[in-house]
Amino acid sequence: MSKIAIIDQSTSEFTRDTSLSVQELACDPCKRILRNCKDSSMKIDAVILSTTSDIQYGSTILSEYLGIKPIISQRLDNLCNSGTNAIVSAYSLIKSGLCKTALVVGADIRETKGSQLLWDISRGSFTLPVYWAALFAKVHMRRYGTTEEQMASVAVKNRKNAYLNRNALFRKKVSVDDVMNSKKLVEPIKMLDCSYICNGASAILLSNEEEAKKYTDRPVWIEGIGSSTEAASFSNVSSELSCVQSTKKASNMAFSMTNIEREQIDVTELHDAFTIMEILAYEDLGFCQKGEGGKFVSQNNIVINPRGGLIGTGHPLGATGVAQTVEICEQLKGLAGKRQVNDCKSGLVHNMSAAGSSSLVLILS
Amino acid sequence: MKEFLDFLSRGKFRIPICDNCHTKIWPPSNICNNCYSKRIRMSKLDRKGRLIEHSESFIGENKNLGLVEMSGIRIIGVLSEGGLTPGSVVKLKKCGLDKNNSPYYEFSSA
Repeated sequence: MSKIAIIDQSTSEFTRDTSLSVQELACDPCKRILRNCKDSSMKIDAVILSTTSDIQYGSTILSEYLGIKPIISQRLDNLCNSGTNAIVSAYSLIKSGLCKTALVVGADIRETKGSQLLWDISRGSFTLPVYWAALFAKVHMRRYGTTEEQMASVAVKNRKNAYLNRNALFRKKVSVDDVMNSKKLVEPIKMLDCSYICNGASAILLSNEEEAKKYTDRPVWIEGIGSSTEAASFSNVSSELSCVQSTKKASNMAFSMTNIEREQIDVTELHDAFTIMEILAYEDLGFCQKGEGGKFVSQNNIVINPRGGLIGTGHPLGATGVAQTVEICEQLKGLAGKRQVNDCKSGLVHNMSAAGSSSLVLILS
Repeated sequence: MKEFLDFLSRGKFRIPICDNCHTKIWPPSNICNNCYSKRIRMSKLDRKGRLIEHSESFIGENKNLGLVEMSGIRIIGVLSEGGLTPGSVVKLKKCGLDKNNSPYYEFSSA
């Protein structure tokens, strides 16, 4: 059966302010990809726009802005986990034979309505994501002795990585003391433990094997996909607050689809919406034992969040999963410049939505 | 769900329970998520619960908050007193809609 490849990728600079609409923002990373398509006489069969912003038929407007007439045009929203879900939809369209190529574009603006979950009235007046992050952190600290300094070290690492990423929003290094002394929001979460919702857009082009060979001699193959949806409400998302069930399930599913083992993963982009969520993801992805996540921050076996993660790069909700995938593709192709991981053969993307309501894992080579 | 909010606006906590299979539907909805029946009844719950985890918010007015499991459903609410720890038995002391029409729940020790 034909394999599915990511044959091109691009991302825009993430920003605090913009006067552009979501669709206009979305055009930016597509321009270079579409110029390459013209040179290769490649037609775009599907456009999937990943965004949490409240816009009507945004993918069709985007297609018109880009001057293309795809067979399929869809807009997809699954909160912060929209980007990789859009990639899986594109994968499925190609795998089915309905399309040969698909352009996945993630774009969002800072003011998106996706940042608060008003449907979930079990949260009472505590609608901001920082509240559930604090509860996860408190449980992990109490049960496993995870410290605020270990959480701060995640922010220090990711900000340091972002320093080398010209598209990152936060290119200033911080120290553990800076994080510890930043404004306390919800015990034990401080300002610098959090990612920042911003403007940004990223795009990738997928194709079947035959088209990939015509376009590039360096395709990135999608080797494994795992996904899990647990619940929309925080009250039903997990009986255990010490782990993210959807990530555990997605990780196991993705690794069961491929011969690549966890020990062979060279580089990972994981969903560090808050520093504690990176620590939980280490454990739930199976990179370390349960309860060891706090100590795993200082490991050197796998390069984690080389572009700076969500904390260093910024978090345009619908674009994040696509941006994470762009980074892993650039790493696997040797195009990551100063951030390049040596001898990079296999990579993993972990994307997640509110409190782990859903998670998606991609394994790429 | 309108009925839930109507009760809540009067300070009453009632949740839908399926007449057909007796499932507690939480967060509230007009359709049972077990048997899909629309025959539901707004019912009282035992207001006593167990504190699963708690924290303190410094956003706006300082508040203690906690995740409480009460009759098998989970709610995040304000803790009206300090000193409560995970496992503490608490009760739903107050509930209602705030000035923004958002639900609020307040727990105290039982």
